[in-house]
Amino acid sequence: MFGFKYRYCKARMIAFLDGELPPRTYRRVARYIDECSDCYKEYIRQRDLHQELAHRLSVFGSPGLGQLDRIWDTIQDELQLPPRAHVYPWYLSYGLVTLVIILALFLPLMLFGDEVSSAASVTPPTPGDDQSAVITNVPYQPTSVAVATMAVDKTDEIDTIIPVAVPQGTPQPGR
Amino acid sequence: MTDNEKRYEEDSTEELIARCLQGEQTAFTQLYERFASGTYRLCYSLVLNRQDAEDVVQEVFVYAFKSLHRFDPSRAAFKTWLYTITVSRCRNTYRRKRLPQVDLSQVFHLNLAAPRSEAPEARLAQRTAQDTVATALASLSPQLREAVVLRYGHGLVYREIAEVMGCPPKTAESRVRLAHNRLRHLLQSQGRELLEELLSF
Repeated sequence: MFGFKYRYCKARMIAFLDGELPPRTYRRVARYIDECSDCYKEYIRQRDLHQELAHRLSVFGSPGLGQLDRIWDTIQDELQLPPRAHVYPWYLSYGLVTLVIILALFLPLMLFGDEVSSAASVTPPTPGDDQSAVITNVPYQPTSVAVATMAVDKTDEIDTIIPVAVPQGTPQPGR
Repeated sequence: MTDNEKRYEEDSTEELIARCLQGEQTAFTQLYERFASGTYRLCYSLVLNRQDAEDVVQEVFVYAFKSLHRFDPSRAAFKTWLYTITVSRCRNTYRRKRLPQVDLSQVFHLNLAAPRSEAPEARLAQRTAQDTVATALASLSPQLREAVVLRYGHGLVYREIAEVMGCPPKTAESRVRLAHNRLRHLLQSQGRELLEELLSF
């Protein structure tokens, strides 16, 4: 079974051969190669293929005679061509962008406009206003009847009833 | 190449680019001559077809020369920028063509002749060795092929490979390692003698 040193070296051997390890790690791997026979064998195995790959791939795929000149002639022809006209004129593309922005801004308003306007129409009552006109959309709540009853001022003057909001549908006390 | 030579090479490339941007035609020619061979080798190593490699090289240089004003030397070397474009175009090509992955076992049915001679057998053996490398590369996935070609074919470091391939440096490192191990496994599974024969060129 391979020990820690071998596993440590094996995982870092390619980077060691490429010279890409940090200095401390590089020294550690180098020490393990010296101390551990399995690490040394792994180093030799990887080094052979490393050298072979570097040798072979550095020349692999070299161009043939005149091939690069032929490619250059084609490149020159293409560079001298006038730039292709845009498929869409600039004003069409800008118009499209403007339309999208307008739709993005006004679409929520068009879709949810009713809810927005109804929420805006509810205003708090001010003194002197017609109370019944303000509260037409407020649903009936039993507690408000008790409030209206308690608000009656028990004096001789009937007209001194404190004005409170009376829900729609509540029977008015007769005079 | 030493650091001083690399610095001189980069200075000269920047001078060439500056002259290209001023519209000097000879500067374009010199820039092409400096990088065309490496770019072609990279293309061929990835697409494994001469005609496709020529088409990609043409596309790369046309695009690069038209976009030269966008190159920022503070972000990357010109070679790295050019190879990024190259790898991107190659990916389009082999995505379009869906290159098949080849079983490396067919490599070992080839008879390799004696090396290091001027005999026709040696030339045939050299061509066969090139086919062997091509078949070995074709057996890798596109990502592993890119990593191993950039590392061993063009000497890029992991950071540069990561930039060209558009991945983190650790990912580039693991791809080089995986490709290396895969090639070693495939070659060694067919016997030490054949590996020695390949190494003897």
